[in-house]
Amino acid sequence: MEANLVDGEELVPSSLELLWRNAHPGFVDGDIISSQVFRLSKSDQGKLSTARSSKVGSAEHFDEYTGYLGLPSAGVWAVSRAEVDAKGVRVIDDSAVQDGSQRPTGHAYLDLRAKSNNAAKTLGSHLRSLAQGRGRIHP
Amino acid sequence: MSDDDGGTPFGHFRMVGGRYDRPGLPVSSAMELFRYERLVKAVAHHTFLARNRGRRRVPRGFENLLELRLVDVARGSVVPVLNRSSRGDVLIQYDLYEEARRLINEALGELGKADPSLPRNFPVPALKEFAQFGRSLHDSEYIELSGIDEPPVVLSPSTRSVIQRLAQLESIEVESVLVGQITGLRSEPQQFDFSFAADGRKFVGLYVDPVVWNALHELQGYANRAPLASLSVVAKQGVDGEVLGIVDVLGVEAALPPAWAERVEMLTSLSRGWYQEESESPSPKAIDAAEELLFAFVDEDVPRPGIYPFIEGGVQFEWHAPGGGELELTFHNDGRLEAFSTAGGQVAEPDDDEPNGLVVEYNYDELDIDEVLNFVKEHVDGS
Repeated sequence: MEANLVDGEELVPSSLELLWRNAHPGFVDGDIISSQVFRLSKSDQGKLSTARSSKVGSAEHFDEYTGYLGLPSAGVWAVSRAEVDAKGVRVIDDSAVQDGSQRPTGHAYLDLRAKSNNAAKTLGSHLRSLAQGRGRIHP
Repeated sequence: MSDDDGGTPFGHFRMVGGRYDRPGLPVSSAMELFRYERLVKAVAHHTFLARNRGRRRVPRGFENLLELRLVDVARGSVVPVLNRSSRGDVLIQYDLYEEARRLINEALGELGKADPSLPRNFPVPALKEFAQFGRSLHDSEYIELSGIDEPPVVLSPSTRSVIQRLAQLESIEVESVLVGQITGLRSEPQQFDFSFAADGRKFVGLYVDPVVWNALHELQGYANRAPLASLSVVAKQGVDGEVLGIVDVLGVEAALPPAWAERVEMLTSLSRGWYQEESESPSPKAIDAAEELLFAFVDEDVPRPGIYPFIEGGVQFEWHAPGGGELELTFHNDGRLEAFSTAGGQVAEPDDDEPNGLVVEYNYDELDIDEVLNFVKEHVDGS
């Protein structure tokens, strides 16, 4: 097992797979998303949530996020696993972890626990730029 | 020149600097010509009374002896050519109006000296009109008056301050643009409550034209916070240049373009828990500071930033360069203004040991708008 992985977690290999990220409506100004879409909040504890395109479609992920989880979203944006890998960031699939928490289908996280605050911010800016270039995936 | 072709020249009047360096006379500045005529009449009026101690009023028709006409606007900054229509009345023999014109020029000459004073024969009761003349001048503008064989003299905003001091006027009226929030409005009496954005001072302002009520009403705040409004006003200005009150409103408009104002409105609508359970909504203080800076961006043609709430409580502005570099300004609810910039125009390269994010912190309670503006201009393309 890879270091620092808990039972049920697995590393997502580098690929062209897309990683979904919902944007809060407040973080979309016109059609420009905020870097905060790819930033950590204090409660994230260094884990930036995402969902894998190989396990859930963008529409299904959006519906699950806004419906089942009841969270506000202006849409789904995406970066690729390869783009994240190019920045030396691990992506860990924790959808099989059994700890009593509810997770969306295909849930994974970008592991930023070892990043400094500024480095995580700069990475967020970079990922935002890539996601912005790709455009809104859904709806 | 005769009456048939517009009368005889009445001195030389030239408006210089700021708006006057462009062709044409700003329509709003035409009022200065009216104020000048009123001043000439007041000086002549009180000079007549001073010379005729037994009289309590000027002869019938005296006021009508002077009618200034704008017959041309010549080039050379803005040169309104003023001619005087002569009525041929017997009283013209005194030619008190020509004397008044010269006396005004003489007074301005004295006021421009290192130790300013007024000519002894300048009628004190005319000082109030004197203090009104030039009320629409901006800091970089002045009016130059002269005549044949007379050296040019100048009326500028600083000359007006000298007049105010010498006349021991507590305040003079100036036309100014004030930015702030309209927090209350009444039609009887015609008053409104105004909170000055620059320092939070509150005024009860007056408006004369009832039509202004509608414009003020549109920008008045109710349950939500009032948007930032830009008011063209006639303000009372104290000796130290401080605004003491608003005596009339000439124009009202939203300080921010609609697309900017909508985002500010969105920020005010967020309640606690807007993002995650513990997310703080942006504080009124953070929104006020952010809005004030947005107004400065509009004023300075700084490109519009993305306007967002901040995850941890506050407001965030973002400018994104096409190449991936970005600048963020974050107004934290605790009063800190944090600037974060990745390398301008280059793709950010995160590095644990040496992040390339540039971080600068300000305290927006003591915000130096110009300093922040310069910082933003240095880091944002196109401004």
